[in-house]
Amino acid sequence: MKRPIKPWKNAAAGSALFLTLLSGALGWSGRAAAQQAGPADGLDVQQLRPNLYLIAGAGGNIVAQVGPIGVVLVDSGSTQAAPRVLAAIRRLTPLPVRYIINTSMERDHVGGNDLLTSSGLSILPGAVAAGAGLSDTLVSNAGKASVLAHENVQTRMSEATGANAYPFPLWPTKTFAFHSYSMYLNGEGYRVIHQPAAHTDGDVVVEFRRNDVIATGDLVDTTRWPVIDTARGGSVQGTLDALNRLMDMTIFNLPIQWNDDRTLLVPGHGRVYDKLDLLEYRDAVTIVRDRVEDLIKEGKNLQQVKAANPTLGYRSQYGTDRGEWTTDKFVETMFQELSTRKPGGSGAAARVK
Amino acid sequence: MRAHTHGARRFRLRQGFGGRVSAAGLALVAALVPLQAQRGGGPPAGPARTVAPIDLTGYWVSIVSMDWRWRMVTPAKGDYSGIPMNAASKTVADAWDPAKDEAAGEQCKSYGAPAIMSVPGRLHITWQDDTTLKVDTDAGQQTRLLRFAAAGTAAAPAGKTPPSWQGTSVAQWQMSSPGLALMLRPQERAADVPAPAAVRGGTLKVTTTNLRAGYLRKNGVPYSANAMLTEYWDVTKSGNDTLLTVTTIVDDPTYLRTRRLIAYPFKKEANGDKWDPTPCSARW
Amino acid sequence: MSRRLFTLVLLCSLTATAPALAQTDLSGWWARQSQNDNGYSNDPVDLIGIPVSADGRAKALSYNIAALSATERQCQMYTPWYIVFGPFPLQIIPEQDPVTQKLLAYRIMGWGDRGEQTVWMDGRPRPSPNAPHTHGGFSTGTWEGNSLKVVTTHFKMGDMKRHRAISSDRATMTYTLTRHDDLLTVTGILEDPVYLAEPFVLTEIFQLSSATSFFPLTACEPIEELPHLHENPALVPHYLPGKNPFMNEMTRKKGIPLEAVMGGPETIYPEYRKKLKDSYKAPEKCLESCGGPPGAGRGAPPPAAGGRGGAPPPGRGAPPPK
Repeated sequence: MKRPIKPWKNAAAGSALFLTLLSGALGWSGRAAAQQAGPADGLDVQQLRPNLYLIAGAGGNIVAQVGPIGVVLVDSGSTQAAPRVLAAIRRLTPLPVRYIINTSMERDHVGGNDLLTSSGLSILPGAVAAGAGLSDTLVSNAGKASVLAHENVQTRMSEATGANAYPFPLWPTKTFAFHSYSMYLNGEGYRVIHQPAAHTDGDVVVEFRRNDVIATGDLVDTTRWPVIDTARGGSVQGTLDALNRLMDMTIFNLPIQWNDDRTLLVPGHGRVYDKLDLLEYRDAVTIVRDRVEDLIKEGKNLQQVKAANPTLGYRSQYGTDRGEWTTDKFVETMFQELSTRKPGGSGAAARVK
Repeated sequence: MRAHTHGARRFRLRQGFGGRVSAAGLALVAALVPLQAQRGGGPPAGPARTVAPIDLTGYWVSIVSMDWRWRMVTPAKGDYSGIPMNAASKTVADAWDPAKDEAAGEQCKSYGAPAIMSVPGRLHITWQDDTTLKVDTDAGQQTRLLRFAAAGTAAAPAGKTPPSWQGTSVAQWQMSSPGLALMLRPQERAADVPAPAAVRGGTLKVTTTNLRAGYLRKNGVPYSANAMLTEYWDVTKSGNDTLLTVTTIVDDPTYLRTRRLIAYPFKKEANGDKWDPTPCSARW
Repeated sequence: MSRRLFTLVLLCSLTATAPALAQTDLSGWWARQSQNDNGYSNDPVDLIGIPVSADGRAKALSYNIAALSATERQCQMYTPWYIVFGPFPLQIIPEQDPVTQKLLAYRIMGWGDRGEQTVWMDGRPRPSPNAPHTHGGFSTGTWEGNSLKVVTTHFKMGDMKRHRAISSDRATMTYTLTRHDDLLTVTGILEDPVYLAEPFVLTEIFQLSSATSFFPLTACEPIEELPHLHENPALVPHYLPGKNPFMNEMTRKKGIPLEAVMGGPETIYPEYRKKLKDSYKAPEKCLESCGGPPGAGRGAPPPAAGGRGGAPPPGRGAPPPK
């Protein structure tokens, strides 16, 4: 929302303009947020842009882009929340879900794939149009909406067995193996960019070019330190690289600093960020890394590093002591990686003396 | 509309407003409009204790979040930052000698009314009678008597009492006044009709004169016997806390270039368990 | 219609410039008058009077002012708390619905490094916890007697003491504006579950003025101040724990014990003076920023009448200390 400088004497004209702008302001001013809140279903639907919504409270955050052909989703939340998510989408539009992009293989991000694709509609032609001998299941996901993810997501899903197995309907139907995948869909330009060895080895961020919104997946999580799943290819350095890459991709509201135009970042969990918020988050992770590195140089072992509390100053803001990914786990993971890194690696050079 | 021919001048208004208005009515409007600028509360009927719009009684503790290094500790000699002192004041302050104050029995010089609210400590406020609020401080063991004029009388004059550290204080309640509701509006939808504004609250205004010369700051920044202190005492609630803010204005043409303006916050305590009377000190 | 009713009509018409159901007129220019140390310090490490939590203290000590040279921080605006601790005046404008004349909001105009605040008076709900935050945050106002009580949330992480102490994005600011004749007393309460152990209370006094210096929000274009920061954007200037080189400056210059310099809830109540009595030794004389009448010849002059309005404080974007 642009807001021109108004001479202070011209209060009347300023008031009229203010109220005009007010009526066209984006929804988070409060009144619009109230309008978007659905029934008591535990979901929080926030309108971020005229045709772009955040659906929070379904596990991981979901971004819904509504356009002429239907709905494109980034992530689908948990399986348990999928019916409520579908109902929330129906309140936004009667058009079907056409495409889902998964930012990782986390179950609270892919759990709704089955229901939401089944209730949706493929963008691809059926088997008859594609040629004889090819089934609908193969060509057009049996008419359901498509699911895009990085190839490593499919690999990890297919490797999981037993209690950790992923049901086949949750798997992606389309993958890419290299740096990025781009498409124009629903009036929006999508860049799906792989972030190697970050949270896992299959993370992507999804950039909505026209709307200037980036869905970060679990690379950014405002409810806890960024989860680094080393068992599935994640790493501290990869996470930091990804955060710095996100900084490059994000535009802040300068030089007209009272203007609300800026890139919005939808994290995997928690509130919507902008570049300044991301800066604080990136800085916190970097500072903790620097501190752990320094303690390792002093010859401290893991217990001593934990006792030194290297997250002090940032722990209450970004960490949690509940759930699976506690601050302690974060520090442990950092210690394990940094203590095996060769001296003079990129981390050592990063700190200002 | 037919014109009337009574004595006062009449005006014919547009149909949307209907009828006519008298000059007397306009005069009424003209007289009332300036009152919009500030609270309009005139002296209420009844003794001060009965009509008190806010409850100041109880124990209050200083919150020393501002000017900590001039209040929690005795600052260095010559540290005058923040006080609009003049050259005469500086001459006096540069000569500050706590030993001399002790020898003269003037340890309480920095506990006078213009400075007492800045001294970290506790207040115990009670009604001495229906027209006198008593303010005791544990730091310096001072007592201030804030006297209200009895109903129907003018404020009590300073009289012939000798100047003192706490001076002579005249208090008055300033009541909140209801805002003017705008009438004859289009009927609003039910959802838009605000709840009636409950008019509560007010301010205690205190004017203090008849002071002995003292210190605005422990390290000897002076105020003279000509100083006049004006205070506004306001109570606000935030969460579980009740706060008292004392806006302090010191006028002293002898030693100050401009008014000394500062507001001190206090927090209400449940009881006097932490009440800790300590005598005046010229050094600490 | 009766004569009485028409009188009331005209009364209301002529007074329609005042906000509907407003108890007090707060509109106008308000010049900062208070003569206190809100918000500023000459010492890089100074948490005195702030009831910081352990995290708040650690974050403050890790702060390296070179961080301000990062592109994104050069133009960073202060939080709404700057209303009570910043140097700038206030300009308050009521906004009324053009049809019903109902008071919709007060606008506290942006100034210098502080974003504009809109104080909604129409009872609208607060945004979702998931909504993005802005510099000015989201504010609602209610009347308590003749005081306007404003509650602000959804503002960004930022200073609660300029470049010394930080508040988180979970902070809530409550402030009351009370007018006394031509003075406006603002009592601010900052609550922060992350960086404060208990509410931080400050007050400020403003005077109605027609001759206030004007320093509006202007466009801000960052520059590449520190080449090494821009060559390697992953660099984050900070001090490792225990390594802040300025920790003891206030103790050295003003005799204030380090424990007090580190702030904390214990240090803001009178009983703390018992602890200080034996550990504090006043310097023989004031060494810097001593105030006094103009032309006193020692230290910086005190604020002139009209408070500390005018040019922004030094330090923003300045090169880091050597």
